[in-house]
Amino acid sequence: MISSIKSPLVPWVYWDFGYKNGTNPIADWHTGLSDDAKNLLHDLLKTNKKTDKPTDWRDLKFLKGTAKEYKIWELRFKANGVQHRLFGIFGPERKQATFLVGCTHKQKIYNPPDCIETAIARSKLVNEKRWVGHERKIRLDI
Amino acid sequence: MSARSDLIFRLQKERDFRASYLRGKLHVLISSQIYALRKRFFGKQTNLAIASGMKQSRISAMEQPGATQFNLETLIRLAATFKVGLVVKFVPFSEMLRWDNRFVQDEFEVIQLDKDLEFLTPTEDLDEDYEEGVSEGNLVFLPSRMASHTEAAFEQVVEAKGDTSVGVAEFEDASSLVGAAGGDHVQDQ
Repeated sequence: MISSIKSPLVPWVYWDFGYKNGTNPIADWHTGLSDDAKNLLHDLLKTNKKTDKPTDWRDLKFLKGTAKEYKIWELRFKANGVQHRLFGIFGPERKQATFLVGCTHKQKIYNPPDCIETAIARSKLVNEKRWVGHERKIRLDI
Repeated sequence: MSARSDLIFRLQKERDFRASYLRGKLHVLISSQIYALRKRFFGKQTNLAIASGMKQSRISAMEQPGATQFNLETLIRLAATFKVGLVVKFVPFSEMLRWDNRFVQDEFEVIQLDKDLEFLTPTEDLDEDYEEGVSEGNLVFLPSRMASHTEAAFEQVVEAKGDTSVGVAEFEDASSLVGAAGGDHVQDQ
């Protein structure tokens, strides 16, 4: 009899994109979020961390247009009636995700309006290893 | 002060922050459960939309954390469509956190009513529940299928407690209790 053996879950590791001068634009964006948005994002990342396939992540969509070439996706969540978007890419290693830029979205318009271009520019820097990763740890005790 | 201490301090002091904390967890965990059950039982969103009598766009919104303000009736409707139960209860923060930490979307599954043998064919476990009911001094109503072996347990409990103020009322089957309650019927799709 053949029995199926489940491999143990390997949780995802998250990185904030950082510039070589030490600035962390994701941390800056996160600081400006409302309590509702911060709490929701924390729980969203916590659940996704334990979800093996990114296609099952809540609520991930790959971008179209120019960004598609760079395999950039956005995590979508809504808090206080505001649609938030966190752009990212997978990597640099297996089971890792790197966050590139955060913004809001209303009636097909992003704010800041150049966030897709920023995401593309930062993904290029990641590919060229001209960036600094700040690990975004997800607390399990809160 | 550490980041955790700061959060605990705010949770203790600010009602709005407690609400925000609860909202974050529930929005993610509910949308994640709906996604997992929809994939398992219905596949595409359109299939669940048809079965539940909701629009596909609404299903999509319910699977996006924070995009829907869930009300109890919506959750009841979904549970009925999935053929599963629904528990809404107030718990300590520690219990909620434990649930959150243990929840894994990939492994989340719920036995549907048709396969829920524990419900369809009650076992000894229900006797234990029954004993708890007796110990709290409640009058317990039992369907006749359960009565034969639970009566013996009832007698034991009464004997042990020397309490005759509790009783057993026998019904034809469990459905008579549901009918008596006059609940709405949900049409299976």
